Amino acid sequence: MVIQQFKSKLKLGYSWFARHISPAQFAVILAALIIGWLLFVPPIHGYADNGDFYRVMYSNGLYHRLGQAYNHNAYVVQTYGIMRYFNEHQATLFSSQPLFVQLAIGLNKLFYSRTIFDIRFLGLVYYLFYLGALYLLTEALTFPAKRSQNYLVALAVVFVFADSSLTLYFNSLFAEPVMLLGMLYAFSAFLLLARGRYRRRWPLMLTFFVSVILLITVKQQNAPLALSFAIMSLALLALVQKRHNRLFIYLATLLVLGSGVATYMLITKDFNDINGYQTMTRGVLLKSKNPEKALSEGGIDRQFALLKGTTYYQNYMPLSTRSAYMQKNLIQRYNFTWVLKHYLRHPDEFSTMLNLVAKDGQLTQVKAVGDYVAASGQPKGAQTHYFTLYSTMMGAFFPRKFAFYVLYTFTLILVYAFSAYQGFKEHQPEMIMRFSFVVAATTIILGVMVVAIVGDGDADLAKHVFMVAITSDLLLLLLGSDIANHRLWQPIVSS
Amino acid sequence: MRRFLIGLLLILGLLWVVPAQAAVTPKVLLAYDSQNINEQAERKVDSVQRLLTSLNLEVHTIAIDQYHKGDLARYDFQGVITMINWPQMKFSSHHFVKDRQQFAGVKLHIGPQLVADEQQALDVQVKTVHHQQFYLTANRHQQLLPFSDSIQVVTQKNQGRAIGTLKTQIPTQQSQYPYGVLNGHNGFLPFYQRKGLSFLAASQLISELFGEQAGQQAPLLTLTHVTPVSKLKYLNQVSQFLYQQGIPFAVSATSIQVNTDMPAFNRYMRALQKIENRNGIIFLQTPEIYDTTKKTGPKLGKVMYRQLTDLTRHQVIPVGISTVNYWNQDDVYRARALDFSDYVLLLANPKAKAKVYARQSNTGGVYHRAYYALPARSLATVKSGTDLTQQSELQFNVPTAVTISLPSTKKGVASLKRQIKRTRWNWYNPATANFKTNLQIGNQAFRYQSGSYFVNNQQIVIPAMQVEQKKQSQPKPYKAAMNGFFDFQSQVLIVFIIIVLVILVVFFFIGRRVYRNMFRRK
Repeated sequence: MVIQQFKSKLKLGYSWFARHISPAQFAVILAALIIGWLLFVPPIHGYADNGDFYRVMYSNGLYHRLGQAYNHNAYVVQTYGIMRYFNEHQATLFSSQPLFVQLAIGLNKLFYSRTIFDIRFLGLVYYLFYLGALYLLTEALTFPAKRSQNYLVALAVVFVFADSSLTLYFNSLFAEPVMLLGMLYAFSAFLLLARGRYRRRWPLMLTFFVSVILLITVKQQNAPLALSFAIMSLALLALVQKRHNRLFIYLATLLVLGSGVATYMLITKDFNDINGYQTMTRGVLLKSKNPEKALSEGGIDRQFALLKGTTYYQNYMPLSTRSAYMQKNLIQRYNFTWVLKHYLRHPDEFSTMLNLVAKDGQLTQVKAVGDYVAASGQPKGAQTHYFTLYSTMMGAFFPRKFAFYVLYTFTLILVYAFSAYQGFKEHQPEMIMRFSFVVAATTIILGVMVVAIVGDGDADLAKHVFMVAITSDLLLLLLGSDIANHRLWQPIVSS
Repeated sequence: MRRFLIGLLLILGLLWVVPAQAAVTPKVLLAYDSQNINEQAERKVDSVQRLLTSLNLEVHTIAIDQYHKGDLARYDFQGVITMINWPQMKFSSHHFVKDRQQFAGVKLHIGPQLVADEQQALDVQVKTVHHQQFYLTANRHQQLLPFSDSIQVVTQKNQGRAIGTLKTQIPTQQSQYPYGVLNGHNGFLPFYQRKGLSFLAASQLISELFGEQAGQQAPLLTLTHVTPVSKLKYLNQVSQFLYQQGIPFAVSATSIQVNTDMPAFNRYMRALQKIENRNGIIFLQTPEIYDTTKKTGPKLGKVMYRQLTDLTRHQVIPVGISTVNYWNQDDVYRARALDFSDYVLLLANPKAKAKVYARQSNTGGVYHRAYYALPARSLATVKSGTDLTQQSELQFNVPTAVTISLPSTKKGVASLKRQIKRTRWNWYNPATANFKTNLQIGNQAFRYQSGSYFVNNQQIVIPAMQVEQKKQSQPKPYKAAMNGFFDFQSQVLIVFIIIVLVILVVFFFIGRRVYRNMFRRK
């Protein structure tokens, strides 16, 4: 009797809850609390400088305040000075990140100070956008089914994407938050379009293309992703029938490809040299059984094998990496195809390197820098464990073999290919588009890994494969939510 | 108690040693108005610093506006050099001008703005001439100087000695002015250049003014830009050529402290051994540094120690250290890298931006012998007058290393050979001259004397080492206990996924058949 009563009360409670709070709202509220505590409640958390912050700081008119060490990888720096006069620093690289930083500086000037920048304003900008992304993501994964399982999907979204290893980035000058936002918005908008969530399509279309372009242009390493996103863009054709609308999609796809090309072309010579050098010394030479032969085979003086394992700005080297001799006899003697050829000739070395990447595929928390501010009293370089269960688990248990990634993605392609086949037959754009996302995600995961090796060796690997982790997370969530809603191989039905 | 006594003795010993050394090293204050980087005047400061160091003087460099009242007397300077690089700005300090006026030691003024008391001490009168191009003649050589906007020249000299003469180009206006002027303890140079005849004349004046035993010496031929990643084929060809021509030489070579077990490192060692066997000597050049921290000192010390140990293990015994000049103006670099040897070779500084100090001291170290590195091309002045390389009696007043970069092309090697064959002066021969170096690494003492090498006072013979083709062994990665589990788990998952894939494919075909059968008419 009591149990019966309790059950009916629980039911009543649930129906009240379900009436007032949708799964998407549920996810956003949870995430807002979890992330908000991490980012804004003092002592705040974030990522300390790994030495790359200057690229963003100076071109955005920020500087280290007096009394702050320049290379401060032990603690997060909470406040920066805002330059008040003419800023002579040119952007060291072409990126969409300054859009967010400038917005944060603007808010900071409006509400806090014109001379001191608090990193929390940048955190706030990312945080607000991120909550929006989580809303859309949960909505996209759960729409249109109104089932109790979808609260589990919402919990899963929070579990995966409110993970601190991702959100710590918000209180830092790293460009990763833009990648995270771009990917979530692009995926959610795409899926919402596929599932016909909103009557008007153009706001979602716009969201999709804008976030894709922001994502591609934020970092040079993302330039090749333009190809993956072009697949998704073209899949939008399944959705529209009108000719002029199709034309718009073609044009937008061209724009996506163009942004990739522009990002690639606008890589500064310095960055090319750094990446080129490290591709050789921390890539080709590192795992080669006979580094000297590898060089002479490719027409480069074998003495350069001595530089094996060194980085571009390594101290105590026999000659400057920027010297004319090094440029002429090493850095300009090879390019992307040279490296690719080398790896194709030595598949065993390539697979060793790829497994090295696969090892870092799911490591999202930056281990090299601290997560606390100095005032927190934590030891130097201390890492937070607050809400990092998911990333810790993935880092430990996700198989660390490249072959696994290949199999994993191809299995998913197979699973979704079946439904795409049906989609084609029954004119269900949703199933075709879902498949196109899986294909694009496969090219992102595998492509990013290969490009990381051929483009920069093993240097800074975990950060270069950031996209791998979030893409595979999205794939997992998509698969999970589709299974939960019984629509893996069936067209969506409103329940 | 015993420890205390030993400590006391040590301190007393130090007290006794330090002033004794300080007393023998004369100090010179080099005061400039501005580095004027836009006009590359910082390179002139660098050049004067090196010249003075090679005259065994302790150089203290400051900007004039940093001068404090009484510094000249307080630090017991023996000489003061005023260097004006940016006359338009008129940076000055009346303390400096006043102290200099009362200073009794050696005084040299480089550049314009020669003030009344300096003119009086030199016993000259000056005037400023504008928009002129001069010929400089000195020691029977002549050189066309670059066009100058404005230059302060000596119009009347009552006493003292002139070094070199400036002549205008205009035939109708046959005016002549002395270039360098020496009068007792006072000297004047209207301008300073780092190359050509004007450098030689200026270095003559400076060495006569400061050096007690300014003697002439033959220059040391030095190959620079020799690194472990250089084209060793060309290095061997050049050293072979010099040996055949009977030309003694030196190389300024860098080394490396990583990957020394590679055959590539052995090949480099072998090339350097060949140089030793071909009457060449080796200066170990200091490595590149991009940024510094508190740990730079100890790290650099270790790197140098490791490099020197590796070199000497292969019987490549450096006679000294070569470095860019600003390292000699830095406490950390000097203590950790340059103090290994009493012989140094001072190369010109890189661009201002590329200079990375660890702890800038602005006080130059002093050595038994410091070579001034002078690029050979700065003497090939055939286009602007006498080709100095063709002169057999060129005056080098300080220990000079005439440097040539190691070529990296076949054409470059041919042109180097031509260039050396054309040169008419005699080269310095360390094997026959009084060239005796010591290098202390740990408990081993290496010595070079009269062409022979000694280790702990035992003469050694440098053999032609055979390159050992060592088998490259990849270091085994460290495996933690859990790694085995994760690897195993990865493999299991891969197998599992393959099985699932196979089953899926089978189901796919079965399902397709079932689906089609549903519509097939029976």
